[in-house]
Amino acid sequence: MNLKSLFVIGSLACVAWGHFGVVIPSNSTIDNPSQAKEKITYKFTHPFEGVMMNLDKPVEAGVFVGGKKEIISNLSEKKDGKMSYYEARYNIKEPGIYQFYMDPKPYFEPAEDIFIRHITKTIVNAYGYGEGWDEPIGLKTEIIPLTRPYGLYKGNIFSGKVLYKGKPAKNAIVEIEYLNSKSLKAPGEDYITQEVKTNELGEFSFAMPLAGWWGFSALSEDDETIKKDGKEYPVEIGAVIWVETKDYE
Amino acid sequence: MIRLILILLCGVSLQAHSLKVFASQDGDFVVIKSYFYGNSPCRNCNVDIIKDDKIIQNAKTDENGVARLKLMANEFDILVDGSLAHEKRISFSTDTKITIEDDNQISKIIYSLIAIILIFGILYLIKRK
Repeated sequence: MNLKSLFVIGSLACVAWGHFGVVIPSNSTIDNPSQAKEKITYKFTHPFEGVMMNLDKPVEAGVFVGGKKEIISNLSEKKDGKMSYYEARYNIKEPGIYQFYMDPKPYFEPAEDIFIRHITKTIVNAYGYGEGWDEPIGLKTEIIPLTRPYGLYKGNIFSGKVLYKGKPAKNAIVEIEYLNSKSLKAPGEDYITQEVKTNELGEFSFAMPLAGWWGFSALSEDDETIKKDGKEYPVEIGAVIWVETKDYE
Repeated sequence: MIRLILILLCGVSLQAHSLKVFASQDGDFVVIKSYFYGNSPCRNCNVDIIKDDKIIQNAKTDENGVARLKLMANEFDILVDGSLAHEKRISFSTDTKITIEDDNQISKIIYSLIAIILIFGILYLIKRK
């Protein structure tokens, strides 16, 4: 490991970044056909602070269902101020576990001299199917849920296993942020992005204190670099998963 | 005590083993899939098609938990009985124009034709003698 890599990893550990790829469906569970017309939103944002970043059209967006990958091509660009994000429509016709994902174009962060690539997914259970939510879908890095990633209550613990190139990512930092749609205020800077680390098996756990959407971003330094203006830059590759918690009605 | 434990376990398994029913249209047919949470098929389960509180059709699911029935109404309920207090009722509706062949009417016509042929046959035989 050279000095530059050490510096980058040191930066990863010290700076509370809070960049998150976002893939959020209109419904995380489908009980009837009226919920089955999903609107999938793809963003790049600071979820708690609500600060948008620009998202270029994802390199790939799709859904993994029944052991097969299906590309979603009907992405439409939307604007939030000057920042772009995307939406897609997907009609769920059959019972199943639907893993929606996006692999974004790496984003250059000049402040940190790195590229950021957050491969993001979320999991929808349609019509109580309930089988296959713990299946990897073959992304370069991904979080495999150890807790069923839907039908969660506020206060539940979410556990997952981080894989990088199919192997457990041990001692990786997992950043966690709440998608703050209620304009909540954090008591201080350190409360905005929560952090846990994976163990030797690449596993982590976190209790979610609020109802809403929670993003988990497991960060690794990628084995590839990206050339820009004649210079090679490291890539922070993130395995991101979004899960929804609800309160009792 | 053992009985109490069994009853409690039974109660837990009922909650953790809920029955699901999913219906979709395939041409003039309704395809009913019935399964327990975790995609375990509800095999050989009784399926009732109910309209105006009357059972208008009945079937059993196959090995994959699937039953396929001809559409006989635009709106009806589907009731699947998975036994052990597993019962699920869902509503189904379609805009498809339903053409219901009145089996009784067809039968009557067939029987009438047979009767006419028999009468003329008998008359023919009598006349020949």
